[in-house]
Amino acid sequence: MLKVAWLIPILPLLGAAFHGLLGRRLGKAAVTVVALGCTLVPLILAGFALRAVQAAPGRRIDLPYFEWMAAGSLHVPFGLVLDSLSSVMALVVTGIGTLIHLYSVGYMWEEEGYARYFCYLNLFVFFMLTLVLGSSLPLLFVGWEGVGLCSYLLIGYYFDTELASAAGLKAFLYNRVGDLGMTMGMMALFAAFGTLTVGDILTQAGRLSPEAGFGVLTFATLMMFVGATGKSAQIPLYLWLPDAMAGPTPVSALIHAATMVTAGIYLICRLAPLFLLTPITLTTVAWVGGATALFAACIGLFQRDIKKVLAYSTVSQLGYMFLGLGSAGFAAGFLHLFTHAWFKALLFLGAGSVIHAMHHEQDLFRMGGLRAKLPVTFWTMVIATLCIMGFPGTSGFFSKDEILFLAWHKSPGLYAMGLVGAACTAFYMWRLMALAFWGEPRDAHAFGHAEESPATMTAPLAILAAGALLAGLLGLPRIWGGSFAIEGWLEPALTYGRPFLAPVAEHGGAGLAWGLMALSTAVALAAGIIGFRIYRRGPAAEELFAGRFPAFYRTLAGKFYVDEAVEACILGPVRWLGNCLWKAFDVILIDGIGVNLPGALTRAGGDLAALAQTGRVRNYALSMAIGAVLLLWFFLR
Amino acid sequence: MITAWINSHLLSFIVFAPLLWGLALLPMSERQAPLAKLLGLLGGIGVFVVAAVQLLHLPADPLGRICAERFPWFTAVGIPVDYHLAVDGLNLWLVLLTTFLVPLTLLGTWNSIEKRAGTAFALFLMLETGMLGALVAQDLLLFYLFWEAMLLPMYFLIGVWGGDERKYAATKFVLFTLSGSLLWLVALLYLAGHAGSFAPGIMAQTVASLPFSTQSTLFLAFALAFAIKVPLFPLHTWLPDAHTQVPTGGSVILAGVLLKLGSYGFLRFALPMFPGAAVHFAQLLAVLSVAAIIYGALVAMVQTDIKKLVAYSSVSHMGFIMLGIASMTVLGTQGAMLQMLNHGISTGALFLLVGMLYDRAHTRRIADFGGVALKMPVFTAFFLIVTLSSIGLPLTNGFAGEFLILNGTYTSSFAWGRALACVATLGVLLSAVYMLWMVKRVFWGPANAAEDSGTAHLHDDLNVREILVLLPIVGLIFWMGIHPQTFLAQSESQVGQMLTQVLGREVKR
Amino acid sequence: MSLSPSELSAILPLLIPALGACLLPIACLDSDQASVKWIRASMFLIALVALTGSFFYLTRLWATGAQPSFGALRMDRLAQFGGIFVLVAASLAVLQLWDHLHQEGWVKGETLALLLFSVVGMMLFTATGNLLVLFLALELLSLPLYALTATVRLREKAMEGGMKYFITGAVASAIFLMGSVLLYGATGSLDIAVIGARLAQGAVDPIALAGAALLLLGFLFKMSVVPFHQWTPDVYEAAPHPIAGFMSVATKGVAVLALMRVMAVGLPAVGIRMRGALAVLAVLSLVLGNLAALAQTSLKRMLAYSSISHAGYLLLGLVAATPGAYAGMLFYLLAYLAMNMGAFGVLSAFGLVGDKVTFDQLKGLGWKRPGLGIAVSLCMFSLAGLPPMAGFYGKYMIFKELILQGHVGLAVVGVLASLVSVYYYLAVPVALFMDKPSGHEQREAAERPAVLAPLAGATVLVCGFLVLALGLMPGTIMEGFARKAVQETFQLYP
Repeated sequence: MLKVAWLIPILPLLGAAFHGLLGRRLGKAAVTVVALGCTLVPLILAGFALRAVQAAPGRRIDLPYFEWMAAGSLHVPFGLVLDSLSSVMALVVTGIGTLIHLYSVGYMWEEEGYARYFCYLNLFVFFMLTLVLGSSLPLLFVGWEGVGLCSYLLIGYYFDTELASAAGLKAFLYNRVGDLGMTMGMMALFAAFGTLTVGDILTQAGRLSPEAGFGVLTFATLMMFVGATGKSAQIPLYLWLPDAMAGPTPVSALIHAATMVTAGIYLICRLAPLFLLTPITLTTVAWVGGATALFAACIGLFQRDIKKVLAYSTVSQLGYMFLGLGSAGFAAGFLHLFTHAWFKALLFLGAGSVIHAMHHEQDLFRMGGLRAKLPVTFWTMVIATLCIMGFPGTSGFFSKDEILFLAWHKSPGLYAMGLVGAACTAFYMWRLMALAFWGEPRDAHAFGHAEESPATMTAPLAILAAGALLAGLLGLPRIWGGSFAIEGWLEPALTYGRPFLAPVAEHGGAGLAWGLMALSTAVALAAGIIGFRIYRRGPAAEELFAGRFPAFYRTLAGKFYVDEAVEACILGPVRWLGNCLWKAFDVILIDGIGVNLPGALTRAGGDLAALAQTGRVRNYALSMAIGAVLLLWFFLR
Repeated sequence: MITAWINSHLLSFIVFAPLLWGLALLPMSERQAPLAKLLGLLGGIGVFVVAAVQLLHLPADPLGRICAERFPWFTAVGIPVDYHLAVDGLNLWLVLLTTFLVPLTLLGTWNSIEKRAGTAFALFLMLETGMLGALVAQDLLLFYLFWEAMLLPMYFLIGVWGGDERKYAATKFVLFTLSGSLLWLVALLYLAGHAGSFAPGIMAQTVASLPFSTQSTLFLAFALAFAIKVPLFPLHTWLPDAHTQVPTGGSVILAGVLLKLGSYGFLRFALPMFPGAAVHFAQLLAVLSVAAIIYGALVAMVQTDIKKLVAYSSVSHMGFIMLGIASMTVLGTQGAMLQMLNHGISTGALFLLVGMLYDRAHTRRIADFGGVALKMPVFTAFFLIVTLSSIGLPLTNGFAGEFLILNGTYTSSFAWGRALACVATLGVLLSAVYMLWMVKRVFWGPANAAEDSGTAHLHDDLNVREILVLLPIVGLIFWMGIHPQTFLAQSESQVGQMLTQVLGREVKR
Repeated sequence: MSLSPSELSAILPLLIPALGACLLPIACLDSDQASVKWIRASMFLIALVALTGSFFYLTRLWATGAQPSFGALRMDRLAQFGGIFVLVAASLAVLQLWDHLHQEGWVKGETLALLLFSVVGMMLFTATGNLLVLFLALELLSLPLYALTATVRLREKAMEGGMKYFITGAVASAIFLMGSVLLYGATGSLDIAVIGARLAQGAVDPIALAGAALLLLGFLFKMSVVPFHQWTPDVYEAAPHPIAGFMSVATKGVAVLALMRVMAVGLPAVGIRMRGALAVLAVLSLVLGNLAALAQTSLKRMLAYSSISHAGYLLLGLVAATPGAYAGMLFYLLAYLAMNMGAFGVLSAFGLVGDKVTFDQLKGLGWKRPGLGIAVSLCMFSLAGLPPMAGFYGKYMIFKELILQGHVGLAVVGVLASLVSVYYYLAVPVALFMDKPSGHEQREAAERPAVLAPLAGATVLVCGFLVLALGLMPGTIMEGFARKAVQETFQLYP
């Protein structure tokens, strides 16, 4: 199987090329088959790969192919790495990818650019797999920027609308800011280790002891984290993700919920041993994560656009993952990534199904009462909601709880953030559910035509629901008699290069664990119930509230006006600077004073010299006489 | 017999065939223009084929020479001037790039030049001779002659076929370049007088014997001439004017090859001949390069004319090249070598594409467009690919070069290397800003509804000829992005030797 | 008395043109020469035959390598070079005159006669080391030129120009004579070799110094060096185009050659002082000439100022004062001959008549007559000193020697000056190829079919070719011609 491992990323690429070049001629059927095939086969291969990894010594298989770049002391191989981490991730990408391809068939069937859509989608899968399997940081960076590109293209899929194209641009540029950090990180790592192959870096890092102050490693890891904040929409670079909802809903599900936005978490897990060497970075990660978790959740409270709510919830969930990573709980963070992938994809697809049924109506306040109309969608979304709010026994419960548990040990403050965040999550999720599925239909016409989506769309929902329920079992905590299996599985990857690194120490007693768990569950349930009860009769209560506390409400609904602040404090000034440099520096200073002025002066001198030419012979004679005197003086002095 | 002659005088043939061919085209009348164009194109293709076939299969000798020609040309007042041409790792790909771009340019501007097209094509071929000669010349006076010889055809291309401001632009172009190269000539003569030869090697030995102050002065004279050509901030203002005035083809050649001769001059002559001074001024060069990167990007961002935007973007890109050279590391220099090709291809392609748009819409103002993607999907696809390569997206050619340069700078020996590298990365971000912002305003969004808008004039998508022009470019973009080794491998050893010579110590390889 | 063959061979090159000059007036006796074409043709033929005959005789002499002398007349390499130089210029001028005078409608035999006389004077001027003979030659070359300037009498500018030239010229000659007298007084000899020897011993007395200074002035005037230059624009504008070209090339050339001889042989003792003075004047000429040229709208005035600036470059060669520099100057002169005769000739070739020829009149002509356009553009690039034209190598060689002598500053001034000059020289191709005729009468002019001037056109093409040829193989001319002339001439002197 390893002989054909390279097919895992390459097949989607071929698919993309196929759609791009021939798709429009060969028609939708061909496109559909190729698109699904190009994700299904990699999925199967990835399954085999997982088995192979299990068997392999150290759960790691290196597959170098050819030298990509080599100059001076830098050698960048073009190769894949299959280890416990990347194989699981590849499975997630291809698995959820396949489901969403399937779902898209139904969702996009009517669309004009069907082939174009699947071209982008396959291309995305290719880049995502490159990111996951790449053996060296530059190769990982290929996928890193590539997925950014695809999200740019897919967000801007409806390129003839101002909104979508603007959102696409915004997404790409915010990602580029992150990539900047990543580039600097790579430079620093290369300067420090003389190589950019992940394996070699970690092996060398294994010999180092944790960095006390702010050293080169801290710089490198911090920069890597900046990259992660860009991709994974953390403060301060989270702004693009909500706008990204301008893309088709399946795209939001695949890219902006399940896979691409988790690349940041993946990156940090890849370099886990390195991050363990830099406590400063870890703390930063934890606090940024916690802050994002809380902040985004607050914004999510009062959004009216169903997809916006989910978008902010994604941001906040990603925050939880970083919180986990920052608390040195790489396995926990990754587990949350894993579970979140299932239920958030499910939520988005459910929302998509709702939107589909409501004829592209996304305003929660205009929905309502869909419970009976869309049974499958409804029940699957209930499951997903339970997961995300952390209902005991569901996948979200285990992963989030592990994170909060670790956060407590990192710092109670972080725990508090997480707790409040969880409460908000439960609140806005049940608000969403209530507004969408309960109460009176507020848009009679749309409601009238609403009907359950086709099987190609509901089947994925069902599968994802099952996954969402069961995914947590990978991380069944010890106090529940489980073994937190995921940690054991990932251990070789997370501690690569430093075998003596102890796995995350077992903190506190079971009692503490039980306590925290009970607390968070209680809070979440309470918040959920409140949210549900307020909104089950419709949005009236919210308007009441808005009237009571206008400022507070507007701030939350207006997303704290961060976008406006960025425009005013960064983009505006930069444009102004560009204009200044051009109009003032280039045109006036360099061209005017530096180039044209000497020219003008020379011409002026010319006119002056021409003045001496009076045309009168006596003046000529005079100048000759002066010349003669000069000569004589010169000779006789 | 003829082939035998070609093989023995390969370089002379490659260099002068275009000139002769162009001269042959000159007398053709206006009515015969189509024929002249066809002949010109065939000539360009022929030269490229000969160059590619012959140069690529020849093995390199220990010195890295692939092939060379040398015999004494004339002795003026006691200083022998050699007719000495050679192709080696440093200039092989640039030579091929030139021969590759010229036919593409001719084909790409097939219909954009209405009046006296035959003459224009002839001038392009003569220009090719100047550029190739400058690239392969190993004797400094010969280099100088070709260097100046490039001016005249370009001068006429700008001045005759240019826009409304063409006279100003043309004169500015010539005077700017001359102001550098004349001072350089003085330095050259000073050096030649002391060395009694124009051979770089001998001159380098002489330089070593001169006091450091003299060395620096001479180096600065050399650097000025090359920096103006590059153009290095703040000597860049001739470039946007020239670009906005010159017809499409001229822009392609200008950006594709002419600018490279500046950076090539640094690599070939300025650095190896003045090691001490070069090391001494490396940091200054690096700072200016970074300034160029940021400055060019910021100014490009606020341009209203697409072509001018691309022009300023190449100021920024050339900044990267100079940064790589100034870093004085194998990594950076190799990156610069690669980036020279990248910039030649990507920016050349951008100018071609802008030209294709202009031929249809007769405007280049960004505000006149919007929703072009609705009218010309194929064109949009090509433009997007080239844009991505120009903003250095991995797996396209742009990335490899910039990445090597940045790492080279970061690991370079002088004090501010790391800071400069970090600042330079901003350029990567900004390039995305100005390019994609422009793409958004021009291609995305609803079609520009205005009566006389550019979009309104767009009726037909790319035709076969234009696609034929773009396909090889796109092919190269991906090839260079996925397997840059093809190009890097050629120059690795020679760059290493060069730097060893400059730094006076074995460089890490 | 009888002449030995060598003496004959020394004087014959001068006799041939003189003979022609004497023959021509006979042709002019016919009053209606203007109407009868064959008479006119025969006049020009006579002139050409005289010039070419002398030319071929000189080239044969050069080939034999002999350097005969006849009393004070020394037909050595330098003189032969000068002779060939003058004769080529003159023949080109005659060919252009044929067209130009017809365009002006003023065909007179005396023009050619005067031209030939002046040619004889010039050849003599380069061929003697005796101050008195030098003075005679000076007058012999100047007086016909005064008349030639005014030859097309119906132009109102003509007389004025001739007068100015005559007056200032007379002053210069007087000063020149004064200088030679003082030198004679100081050294008791008129032969520069002897003078050089005398001055070499002990301190140079002030009289001799003053003499040298005044003598120098005479040459500088003929070279139209600042501040003895102001006659140049007026005279060039007044004179018929070919004559102006001939003056700018030949007069300057022979003055340089003679001064070279006098400096190297007669006044090495005052070399330092002289070089200092020349450096100053050279800079003045470069700056003033180029700046003033920038401001001109009239083509001929521009060329006049450019010739002033070129005098500056030539002086730089004298400042360097090495055999290399001298050889470089000779090469420079050849290049200058080609490019300037081309530049002036194109006026006749395009049939632009009258005192004032402006750039506007050139608009669009380049596309009408591409051959001429390209040729004259080449000449302009060469004047601007752009490689690979001949003009570049002239500057190249002079600057190189200059720098080797340590005058880097002067070299920088030189290149900067040439940078300025590029601007106004490029104005010509700009007008020819890039300008669209603007305004009514210009467009009308553009409509008119191109004037046919075969002979002048041919000369321009030849000049363009020469400019390029000299530029592509500078070595052969340099080594085989210029260098030889300098070396072997100065070997003759002890």
